[in-house]
Formats: sequence, C-alpha cells, structure tokens
Amino acid sequence: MNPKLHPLLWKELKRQKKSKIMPIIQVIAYCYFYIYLKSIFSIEIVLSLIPLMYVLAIQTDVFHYDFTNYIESLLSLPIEIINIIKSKCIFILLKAYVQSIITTLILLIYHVFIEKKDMVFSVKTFLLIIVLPIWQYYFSYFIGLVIWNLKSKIRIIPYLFQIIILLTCILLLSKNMVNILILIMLGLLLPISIGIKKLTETLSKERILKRSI
Amino acid sequence: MEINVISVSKTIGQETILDNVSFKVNRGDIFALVGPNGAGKTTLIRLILNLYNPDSGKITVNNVDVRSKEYDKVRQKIGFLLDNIGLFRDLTAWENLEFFHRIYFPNASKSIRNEKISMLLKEFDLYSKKDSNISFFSRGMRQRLALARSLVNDPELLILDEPSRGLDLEGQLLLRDFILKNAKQEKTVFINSHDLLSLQKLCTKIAFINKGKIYDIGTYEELSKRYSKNIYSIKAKNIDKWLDELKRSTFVKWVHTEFDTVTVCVDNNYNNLPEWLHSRNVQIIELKKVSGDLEDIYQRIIGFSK
Repeated sequence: MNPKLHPLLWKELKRQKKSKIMPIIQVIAYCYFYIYLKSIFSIEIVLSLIPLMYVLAIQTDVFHYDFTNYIESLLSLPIEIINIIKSKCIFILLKAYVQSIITTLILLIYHVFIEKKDMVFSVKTFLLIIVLPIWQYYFSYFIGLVIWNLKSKIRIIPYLFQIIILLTCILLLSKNMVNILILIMLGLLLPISIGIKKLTETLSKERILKRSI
Repeated sequence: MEINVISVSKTIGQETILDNVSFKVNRGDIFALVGPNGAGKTTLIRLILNLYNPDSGKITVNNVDVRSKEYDKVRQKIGFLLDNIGLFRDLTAWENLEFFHRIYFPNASKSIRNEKISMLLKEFDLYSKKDSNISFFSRGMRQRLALARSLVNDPELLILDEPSRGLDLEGQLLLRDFILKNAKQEKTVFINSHDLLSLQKLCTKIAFINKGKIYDIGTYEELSKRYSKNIYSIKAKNIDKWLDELKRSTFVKWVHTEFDTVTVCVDNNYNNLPEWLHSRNVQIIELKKVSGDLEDIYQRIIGFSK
C-alpha cells in the first residue's frame, strides 16, 4: 500500500461522503436497540458488539459496489485484484469504527449521565476490544475474496457468514463467556488464513468479469 | 506502442469467439477492427488488456507478453474506453478523472493533478460540469468524459471500443479531432467501431473480423483496390420486376438497394452485367462502375446478404 491515501480508499470515501443518511439511521437504530434491550444485554456487551454490527451493514455494499459496468475498467487498470479487496476491507473497518466511536459516545453519555450507572470493564473485555478489529479485518478479507472469487452475484453469502458470527458472539457474551469467544476467534484465524490463501491463488479477472457482465 | 496478436484462439462456453487470429499494429497506426456484433472484437480488446486468457496463441504489446508480470508497467501507458463506459456514477466528473489519475500517478502533487484534470475537462468541453454528478450526464457527455479519462495517464496506446456511440454530430467531430491529434503525437490508436465513414477517413489500417476470424487487413487504398473491381451502380425503372432474379443469379455476390438505385457486386470474372440487364429489358437510366467506399468493402468481405 502506498503511504498516501490509496486511490481506491479515496474513491470509497468520496462515494460514501455523499450518503450521510444511512450511517445516521444506523447509529440511531443501534442506540435505540440498546435502550430497548438494556434489561437483557449489559452495556459492555453492547459496546463490544457495535463494530461487528456495523461491519455487517457496510461490507455487502462495499464489496458488491463494483460489480456493475465499472468492473471492466477497474480490472483494466494497473492494480491487483487483491489490493482492491484489501483496500475495501480497510475502508469497511474504518467506517465501522468511526460509526462505533460515535455510537459508543452516545451510549456512554446515556449510561453514565441519564441512567447514572457505573462502567465496569474487565481485562477480558479490553482484550476482546483489541482482538475484534484484527479478527474482523481477516474475516472481511475472507468474505471479500468469497464474493469476488466464488459467486459475485449472491449477496446473501456475507450476510450468512456474519450473522452466524454475530449470533455466536451474542450468545457467548450474554453468558459472560468472553474467554471462550476470544479463544474461538483466535482459533478461527487459522482456517480463515488458509481460506484466504486458497482463494487468493484462484483469483481470476476473467471469471470476475464473466460473472459481472 | 505496437501490438502483436499471434495465432490467438478463444472459446467461451461452447462458442469459438476467436479462431487463430493474427495481426500486427505498428507504432503510430490508427488501426480499426471492423465487423458485425458478436464477431469477436470486444473479446479481442479484453485479451489485449489481459482481462481474458487466450486458449492458445500470444499477444504482446511493445514485445511484452500481456500475461506476464511486466505487463503492468506497459499498462501504465495504455488508455482505454471500453464498451461499458466504466465511470463511477456516484462521483462527479472531476472526481472520476481524479480517481484514475490517482491510480496512475499516486505520488503526483495536487497542483499537477488539478492542472491535468482541468486541461482534460476543458478539452472535452466539460469544465462547467466538473462538479456535477455524472448520473445526470447524457450518454454523449459520459462518452466525452470517458474519452477524457482515457488520456489521464498520457497513454502511448489508446484502445477505443465503440467510441462514437451516443455522440451527437459535434461529439463525433470532437472524437475525430481527438483521434487525429493523438495519432500525430505518434500514439497508436486501436478502434472497434461501426462508424465506417469516420474509419475510412481516419484509419491507416483496417482489419475485417467476422465469426472470430480475420478476413482481410490493409490500408483503405489497398482494400479498395482488392474489393471494388466489380461493383456496379444501376439506376433503373421498375426495379421490382428484375431485382429478385438478379439477387438469385449465381454471379452476384451481394445486392444493396436504395430507392431506384441498385448497387450490385458481381464475381471477379463476370463482365456481362450490361448484357444481362438488356436481355431482361431493364430500362436503365444510369449504369456505372463504382469505386467502393468502406461500406461497400465491408459488404463485400463480411458478406452483405443477397
């Protein structure tokens, strides 16, 4: 990656700057989700799940965006497909975490100043907050490769993958099994890495183009 | 830049799209690939851009195999306008050019980038629309913007797939100037087009492709010499009475009718058309041999139906 802003990242930023309504709706919906379900989920669980929720909302759009009549031009440029996918992953994470920070601030204000409750973050929760973005990057990378490589027109694939992960997280966190969740995530990194390697080897411009046009 | 296509074949599914195609485009050529829809023109462009892999054969650009790693360096100097224009609908005209400039010149300074983009937008008469989202552009405006984009990297080879599509008369004149201006700068221009009139005026070399095969290749003058020997223009009365018989005649290659004028191409060795017409009591107003334009040559080579 160039130390300057990668052109593909620049393009995504320009594009998304024009769509402000969706992120605002997402932030409001997530805050409402917490306030509505605060009796079931603790604030710590809600905060740690925010990025995953946003990634789920963002990544399908970002990975699929180019599968229209731009794809031929994009593939004709002197850039590797793998760099296109990587830059999309970085964008997805950046956007998800920017939205997460805003949501976190709103929820913390609500929690501390309106509900007047204390925050208790354990070491395990901090560890989870560190592991999550790293894990999410590789997972998004894997999903990006699945979309670009295997069946670009099936939009449900990334949703299914991510919903399974999200449900597992909610289940384990609601039972306060943070250590197990971290272990599962770290354990899954190996098969995900193998999947990334295999899918990268079989990336083909011809196949992508044939499926997109 | 020169392009060398050597015995290239390509099959997609069960269909043979290109069958042992070979030709060479020299540096500075304005090379046109002419043929009907489905002839294999776009596939050939995709092969040159290394978007498709050939089943057999090889394509080199400036002696670099398009499938090799080094081709990315050559690609830096290729500008293209593809069948799907490929502009980003959520970006403005300026942003579209800036994106492509950033890809080719990631380290360019802002002033150099802005200067280049302004110059291109002005050249294609789009500067006043620079901040407009291109989803509001007409097809012709998008085509002009795509032409501007094809020059963003100062290419030495321009690949243009149907560049005149959607252009009004003014746009077509702009396109003609654009091609000539680039050719004067020793750039190689490779065009796929149906606009035969423009190609005849512009191109230094023309190749005819149909059903995946190159039928003939040469300059307009060479092709005209080869294919315009036996074309007659007949202006006559009561065409309907004898036209069907003419079409069925074994010496006729193809016939094209427009109002009271019939253009007919006969076999090379057949010299008796005037006699044939007299024997059918055709009331001839005018009968003359014509030197074929590119459209006539196209009909002759690709086979305009009888």
